[in-house]
Amino acid sequence: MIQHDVIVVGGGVAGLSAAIAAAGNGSVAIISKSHPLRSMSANIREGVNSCDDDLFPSLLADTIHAGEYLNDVTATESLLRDSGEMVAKLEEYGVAFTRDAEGSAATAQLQGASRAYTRYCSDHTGRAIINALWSQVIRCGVSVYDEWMATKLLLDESSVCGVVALDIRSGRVHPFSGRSVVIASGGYGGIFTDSAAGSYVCGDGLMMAYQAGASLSNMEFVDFHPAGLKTVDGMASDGAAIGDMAIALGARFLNSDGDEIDVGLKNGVLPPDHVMSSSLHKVAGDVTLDFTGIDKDLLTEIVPSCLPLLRSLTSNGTSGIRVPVKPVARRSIGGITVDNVGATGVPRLYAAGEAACSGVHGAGLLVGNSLLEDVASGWNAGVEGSRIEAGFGAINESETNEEQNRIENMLRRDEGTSSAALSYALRRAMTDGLGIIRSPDGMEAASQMVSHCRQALNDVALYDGRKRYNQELVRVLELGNMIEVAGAVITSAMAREESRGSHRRTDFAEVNDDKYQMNSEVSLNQGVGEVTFVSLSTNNLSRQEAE
Amino acid sequence: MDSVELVITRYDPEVDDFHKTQTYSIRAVPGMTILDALVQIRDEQDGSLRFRESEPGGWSGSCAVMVNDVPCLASRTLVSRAASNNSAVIAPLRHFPVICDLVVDHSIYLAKIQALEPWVESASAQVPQMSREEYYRLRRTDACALCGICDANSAEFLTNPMYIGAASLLWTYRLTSDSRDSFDRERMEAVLGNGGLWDFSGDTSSEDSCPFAIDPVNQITRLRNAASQNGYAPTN
Repeated sequence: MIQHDVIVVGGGVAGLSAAIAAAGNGSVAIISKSHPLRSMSANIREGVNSCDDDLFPSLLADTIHAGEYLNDVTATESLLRDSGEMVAKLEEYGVAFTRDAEGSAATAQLQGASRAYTRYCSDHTGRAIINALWSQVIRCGVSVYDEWMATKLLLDESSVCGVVALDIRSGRVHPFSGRSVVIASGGYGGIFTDSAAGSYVCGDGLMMAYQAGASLSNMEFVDFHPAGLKTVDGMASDGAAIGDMAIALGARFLNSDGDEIDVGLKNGVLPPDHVMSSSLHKVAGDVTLDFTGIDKDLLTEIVPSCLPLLRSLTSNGTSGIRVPVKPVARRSIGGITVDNVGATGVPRLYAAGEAACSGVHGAGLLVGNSLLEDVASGWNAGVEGSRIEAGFGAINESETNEEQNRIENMLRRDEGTSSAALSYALRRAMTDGLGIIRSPDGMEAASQMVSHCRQALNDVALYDGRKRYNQELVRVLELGNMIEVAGAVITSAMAREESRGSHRRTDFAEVNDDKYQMNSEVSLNQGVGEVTFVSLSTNNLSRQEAE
Repeated sequence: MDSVELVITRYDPEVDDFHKTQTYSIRAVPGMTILDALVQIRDEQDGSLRFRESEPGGWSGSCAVMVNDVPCLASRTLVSRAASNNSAVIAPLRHFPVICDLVVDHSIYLAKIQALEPWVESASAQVPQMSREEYYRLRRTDACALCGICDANSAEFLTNPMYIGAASLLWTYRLTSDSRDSFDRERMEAVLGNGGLWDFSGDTSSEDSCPFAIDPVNQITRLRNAASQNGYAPTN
């Protein structure tokens, strides 16, 4: 049995931040499906929003505007108030934010922002933060179990007391005992084919928490980035999010005739992601992102990391400055329901980052708040998780064995259908039915696909039963999570009979504040997901007050 | 372009004595990358093929492999460019121990970085404000994903088992250039021994082959110059 005081599931920005915060107060482990340096946070190309007292009111207003009045105002205020401190912490850890010509901190004005709030490191902010936090994790002596996949939370009575995890390299399944568990395993953008995330980003941690009794909030909301690099539809390399910094520099969207598309730019301010993405979604034919109007030196200065990618994947191979794009799922807004410090409804279970939903994004994302949330909420959850003083709970051996048998039995299934085909069909149905515009037929078709996949999952076979580094096994475990996450997204989206933020329905095209200025919460009742709507905190603003 | 042959290294250390190759025929479409092709093979032909996948864009650096003997990110390499004669050879990243097929073990590689104590550490409580010049020195190195591509190009590994690699030197340069870090001298001295700074030949990856547009040769040359200016010289 492996034992640590705090077990963090996930090695991205939120997980690393949680581990560093907890490390002063006991032994800490990170369990991560990939090495922290390979985490999806490295994929975040925009920066971190930060404000002083002067900028605070306008950043708050823009955040709530992007979230279409569904933000938890208390949580949002506290996140934004912490932003200066969080950025200072990152600088102390060695992150080199871009400096302007005078040597002061440079800031960018991104989509949805009426002022320049975003601190950035060219277009590799996520990578710079990951590298800095990883080196801090080494310094703190955190144990990193990389290429381990946590599959199940262990409970003692109703409190979390550990996890079961698969060591992908050996194929062995081990129980971990901990005083607390922090889920920071990322979101579920990979349940769509049009996604900036890989299909392995499918809400593994959300499902563990859900099955252990936690509820999931606002699962219907997913941020679609307007400019994902379009390669071949449905393939693994399709959809890299390249837009933020380039759009801030003035890159323009063109239609197939070469005319500029109106994405809602007003007085020099772009609307939030979800508004731009739905404008682009309506355009018939191909959309390109055009960099030609941007000064060459500025391009190499601000988007140096994107340029080699564009050059290598643009099929004419020459310019890389006029590239085909489409909106892609980027940040999951929904997640495990948590309070202001990351506590879930399950004792000793915490959640942070994209895996969690504290209400700071409301119904739509203000770009730049994601990394801020990852750093800050990871830190808070790490601190809280390491404060548990009660002893280790009792690990139920039969529960561990049951999980071990479930996984080992999968390796023996050599006749049946392929998980890849099912996964693709499901992701396709999610893009068609629950992408940027949601119709009753599309949602119904996706819902039927979920039912079909649930059945078919029992007949999924593995081509190869070897234990070592069996990625097929990992894919099947992921598919199980993907199906249930998709189910939660659909159930929540069907229940919310309005259009708000990133949730846009054809049959309920208007917002309905009277009925739905509330959070959706889905939880398991006798194995079936049930949605309820929960009032926002009393501090919340009505639309009229805010405007 | 339609049918393309990919010759892929297969190796399971528990079963195989030697690396072998297996040839797969794939349906190629314009715009398809080597990563897409590997996924197609795994999903439609041979579920036993092991490789590390990356997210679109390959920022995580997970999918580094050799394509026609050139290290690159599979997710950023077009099949149409790699398979000019309708075939391409795909092998695990050079100089790295193989776990299975195209999956390599980075642990020894990353242990070398960890041994550098790669966190910024200030001896004073007051962290100095970074200047624009300093930011310029640091800005490219922070894009490093430690994907291993520059070191798959380093011939030094063949001749010197003590060689620490271009990435370690790059990270050392980064840390010694950071005014917030107070241990420049110690960091420099740590890479001066056998297999260190003076054994770097410079024929490693150029800016063109680094997927993140870092120019390791340039940065490591600056580290060498700084070492010389501080009175350090090659021992032999």
